[in-house]
Amino acid sequence: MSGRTPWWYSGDEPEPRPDGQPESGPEPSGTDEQPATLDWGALVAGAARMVDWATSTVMAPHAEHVDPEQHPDCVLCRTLVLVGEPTPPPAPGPAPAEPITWIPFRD
Amino acid sequence: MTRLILLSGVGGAGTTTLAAATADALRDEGVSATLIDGTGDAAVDPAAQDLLVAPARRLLGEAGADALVPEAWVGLAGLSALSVLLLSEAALGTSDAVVVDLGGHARAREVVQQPGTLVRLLDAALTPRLAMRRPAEGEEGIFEALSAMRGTLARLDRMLTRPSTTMRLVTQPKAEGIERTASALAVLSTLGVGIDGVIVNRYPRSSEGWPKAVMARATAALAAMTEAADGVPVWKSTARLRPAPKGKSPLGPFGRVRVLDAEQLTVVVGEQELSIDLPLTAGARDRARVGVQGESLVVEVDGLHRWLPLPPVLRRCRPLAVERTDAGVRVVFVPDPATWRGPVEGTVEVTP
Repeated sequence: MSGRTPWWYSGDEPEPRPDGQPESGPEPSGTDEQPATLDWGALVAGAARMVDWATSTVMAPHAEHVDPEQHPDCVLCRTLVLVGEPTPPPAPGPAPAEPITWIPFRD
Repeated sequence: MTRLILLSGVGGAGTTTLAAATADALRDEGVSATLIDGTGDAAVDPAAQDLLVAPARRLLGEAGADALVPEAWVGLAGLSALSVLLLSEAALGTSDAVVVDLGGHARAREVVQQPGTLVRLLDAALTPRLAMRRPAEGEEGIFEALSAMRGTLARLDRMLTRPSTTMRLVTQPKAEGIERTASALAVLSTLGVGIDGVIVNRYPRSSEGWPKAVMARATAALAAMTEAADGVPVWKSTARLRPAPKGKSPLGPFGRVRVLDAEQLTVVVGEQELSIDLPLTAGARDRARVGVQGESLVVEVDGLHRWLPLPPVLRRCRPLAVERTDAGVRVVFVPDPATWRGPVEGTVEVTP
């Protein structure tokens, strides 16, 4: 690693090869052409759309799945089954006590 | 074998005096006897604080409560009851006989049921989840601390129900005293404590010139007590104090009332039904309610509950009815179709 910022990130010209030959490939078409840059706005918007899609098609339906084995068409449930993740544990705290069932007397 | 003799009585019957007379009579016979004040007036033994308070403080501390100094717990009735049992256990290591004056019947119930009740609560608290908790560096885990506490309490419970431990009930020759003593006998025997005698104290002597009506009431009370005593000896004690039946050593035991012993229960499998007999005194049988809760059988007598583990075979059955028998009650079950496999055939006995 040279420690320099790569050209594809900064828009710098490609670094010369060690043998001094220019990089193969098409030459820049003109000196007045703008250097290649990333459209950050488009990237962020795309990522946001991916998150929306995942939320609506995967996460929201999965949130209603209690037993992963009952939902083989859900990618998260299938993953849980594959890695052996059991059904989510019950809420902490003791189970509610059963009442005493009194037995009737008979003669 | 060392003997533990517990005395409990109705108010004013002279229980404390008779407990002292019992210990004196034993010493006169050359038996090394220790007398313990179990009425609740004595100071709480430090061992009881170590047993109950230390784990309780840890639990409260882990729950976020501010730690209380150990002295703040001394007023707990259960602590005093455990103190009596720990002192008795220690005294049994140095004496042939230990005589404990428990005072009233309410105190006796409290002392007798304390260890078993706490064992049951701890069994519910000692969960695998608690066992998985890792203690802080250099500190005993709370699971281990509570397990040790349960072990001590179970040992005290066994001390109360072993054959060499007996309880004597002290009463007066009056109708109300007899009724309360009969209730105590029913409740304590259901808890598994062997009662070996009933002392009717302050019995009037005819030579003292008592009116006939007083003598008649005393005679009737003695007869009622004898009937309620379920076969154990009932003897009169006058101003001269008689801690044992005439001609007997106070060491006893003089008899043993029918007790509900959890280790002696038998399941009888019939063709269609399964049943389990619970030995109860006549008084307990007439007062008892029987129920199931989870995997336990519950017997209630005069508001006190005794939990017994339900034998595994009966956990696949549902209770049908309770029948009164000469020896107590019989609880009848039928196989639960949801969990029972195969037919019920033959008659075999399964010890739980």
